[in-house]
Amino acid sequence: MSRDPQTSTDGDVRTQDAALIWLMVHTMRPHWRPLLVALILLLATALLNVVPPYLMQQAIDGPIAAGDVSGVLPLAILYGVAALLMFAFQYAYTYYLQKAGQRALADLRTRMFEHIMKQSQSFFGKMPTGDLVTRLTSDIDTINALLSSSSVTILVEGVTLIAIVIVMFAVNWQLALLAVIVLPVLAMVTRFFRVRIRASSTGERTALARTSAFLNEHLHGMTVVQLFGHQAAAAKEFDTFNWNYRQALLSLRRHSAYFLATQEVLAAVGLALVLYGGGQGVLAGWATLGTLVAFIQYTERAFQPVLRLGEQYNAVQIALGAAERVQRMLLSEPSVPEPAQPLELPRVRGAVELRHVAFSYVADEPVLRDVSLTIPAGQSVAVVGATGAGKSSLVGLLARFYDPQQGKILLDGVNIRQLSLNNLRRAVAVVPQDPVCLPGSIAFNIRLYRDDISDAEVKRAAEQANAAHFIEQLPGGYAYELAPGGANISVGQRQLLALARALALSPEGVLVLDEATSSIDTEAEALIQEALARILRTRTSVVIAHRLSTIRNADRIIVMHRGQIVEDGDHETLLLRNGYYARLHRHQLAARSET
Amino acid sequence: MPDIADTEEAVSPLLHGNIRFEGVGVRAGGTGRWSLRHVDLEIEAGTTVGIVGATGSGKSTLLSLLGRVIDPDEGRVTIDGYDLRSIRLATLRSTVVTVPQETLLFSMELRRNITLGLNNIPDERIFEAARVARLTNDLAQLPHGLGTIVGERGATLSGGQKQRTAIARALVRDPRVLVLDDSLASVDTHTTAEILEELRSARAGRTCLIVSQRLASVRDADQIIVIDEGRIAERGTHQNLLALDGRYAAMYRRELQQAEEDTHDADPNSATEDIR
Repeated sequence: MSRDPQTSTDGDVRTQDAALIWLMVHTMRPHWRPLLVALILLLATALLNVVPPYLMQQAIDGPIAAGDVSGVLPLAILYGVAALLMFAFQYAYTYYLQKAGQRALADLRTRMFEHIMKQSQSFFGKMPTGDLVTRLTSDIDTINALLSSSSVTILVEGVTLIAIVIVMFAVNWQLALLAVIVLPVLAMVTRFFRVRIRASSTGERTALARTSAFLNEHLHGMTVVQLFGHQAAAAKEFDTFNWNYRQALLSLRRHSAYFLATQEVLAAVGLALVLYGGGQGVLAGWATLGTLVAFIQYTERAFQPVLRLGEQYNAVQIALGAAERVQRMLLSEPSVPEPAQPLELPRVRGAVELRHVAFSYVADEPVLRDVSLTIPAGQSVAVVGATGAGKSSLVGLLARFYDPQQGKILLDGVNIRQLSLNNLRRAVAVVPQDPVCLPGSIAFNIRLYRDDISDAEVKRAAEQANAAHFIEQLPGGYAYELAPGGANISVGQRQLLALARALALSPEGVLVLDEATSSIDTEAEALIQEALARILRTRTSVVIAHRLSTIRNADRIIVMHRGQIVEDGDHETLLLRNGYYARLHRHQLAARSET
Repeated sequence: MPDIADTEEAVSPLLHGNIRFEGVGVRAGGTGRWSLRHVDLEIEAGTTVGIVGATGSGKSTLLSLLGRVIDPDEGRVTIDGYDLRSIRLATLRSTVVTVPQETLLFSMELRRNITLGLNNIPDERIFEAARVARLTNDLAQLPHGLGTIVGERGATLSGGQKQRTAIARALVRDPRVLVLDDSLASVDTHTTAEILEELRSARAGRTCLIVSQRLASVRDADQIIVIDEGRIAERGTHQNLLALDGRYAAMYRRELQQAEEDTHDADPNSATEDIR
């Protein structure tokens, strides 16, 4: 699906209906049993709705007209039984419907979250976190409201309406005609408001998502907002978001208010027609008094469903908008898709080749242009160059955070697009510049959800990364619990941990490392350098290098400039060339190049 | 009521930047443990203080007292004799500007990120701040220069670019007191040295507090304090502390060893030529 999941100016009515049906079918199917029970009970309830007025008519025209007091009692008992049954059915269908609906929604939330986790880095660059959170929570809640209350109302009231119309025509077609004459008018009014309510409800969702994205960012950055006196400007900006949200809500409410009022008026007109026509009928003898009383009740009951449907209309429209947003999200293909028939690399030798690779994040702003590079298995390559030269993009492509627009990248002769992402993540180990620590034990942070990695392997990786020493000194060692963001260990220790993680997840694959520029304590720095020197000797590695010692330890240096490889060779060769690298080197290049 | 707010009698004096910590103690959030205790420190206006110490030793806590992100639980902090709590927050925060450890940029134009909270700042002032923060070259490389919209939380910039933007944000306000809370951590050593040199020459009476993991960033400070477990363990100039042969001297020896491996063949004479 090529549609951008972020565009919230939603599609036409048909795609929204289709989206809702698609969602319903997909999410409800596994829970059809309780759903079926609920539906049967619903139908029974709706049909029972017709009974009380009918009993009333029987009582008035029968025993009451005849002055037969004892004849009223059985009808009164039947009336009571019908009411009790309706209560029992109502309770039962609500229970079963909730059971099916809540399970389906829980499934839907899980699917959304899993789907989001499959997305590429560029997806997260585009989607504000607040927007995602809105989709995961508020949109699903909206659909929940539809499932748990609106759909019930619609079904019960819909069936009730049909049953009442049938019974009315069966009892007295002239009166029935009078009662339903306003229904076509009502249908037209509904059509008129349908489009307006739907458009304004979509506007409301979009405004809400924007508002939460703004809130999310500013709440996160509150310290800076306060320290730099940004409160007034932020408040003003929030005002704009808030105002837009308010306008969207007002427009939605205005439309639904007009709609409801129009319906009330039409219902009153319908009732007046029955009273007038029925009165004539009773006097002229083509209708009985009991029939008139029953018809007044029927008309009220017939309009109650219509009014209730109207009230629910709003909720349905909002849910349709939400359903479409959810569906779009679920249907948006990750821009780094899994291959249909993935190949497996059982053992990684580590030969890497880039063939005519071109890449850009934004069209017409190329980041890499026609880059070709062959790295034999076991070679270590240091990538150097100024900010914006394309180093990070090159490394990101190797790890398949993105796919190139042109050319291909081969690992041991296989296009990395053909490898399953799982396999690729084991074949290419990535150490990012700013390592992430999740709350959990040290061991968990090293194996990171890969339960197949044994304690011994965790320990070996930590030793190779020179992280074992500091870990063993922590209280509890590998069981030591990290605070969110790794706040209770130093920046340097976090980097050692990230290195250990990469080695554990991919013990023999290609190491891709974006050397941290952060200044860290000298001790950790020495440990990292020592570990890196050792690792670079043993496996294929591509390192964005910032330190001279790392560059010297590499077998080969490539220099990037404006998206191209401009120099390629070992330290001595490049110095002799007296070109870009030589100049960089003179200027303490290790210090010069940031990401 | 917010617990950090202006009192009715809050004043807005013209401040020079003489800072005193008097018996300051701060409890770790909600616990009985002290994350900072018995801190006495005097910083004369216009001088630079370097603060070093291990992760979690209390350096950031000390700095966050200055912008009144937190208030002390014991003792007081004064500027020019005024207790910080008696100065209007807006006055205090335009006098003392902190570049926090974690860089926070917003999804808006780079220009607005730098002038955050200010209005009508002429471009020359922004460019000057960008120059001192060594951001000029990056501006030239960004698609729309100052008008470039940075992604959510600055996602489109590198770690170093983000930090240098945060420094430019502080400098454009030309504060009397500049507080760098490990704000150069993602900036490479060479650029860090350039920025510190710029700050020194453009300082003109500005008080600076610099927290850093790199001793090279603080060695020229008028006074260096070493914080350990919430207390000031050592204080003095670089030379004093080396002579003391304590923690600072040990840290320095380790860093020297490291630096030797890294930079011994760099040619300092050509360091000003632009290689980009």
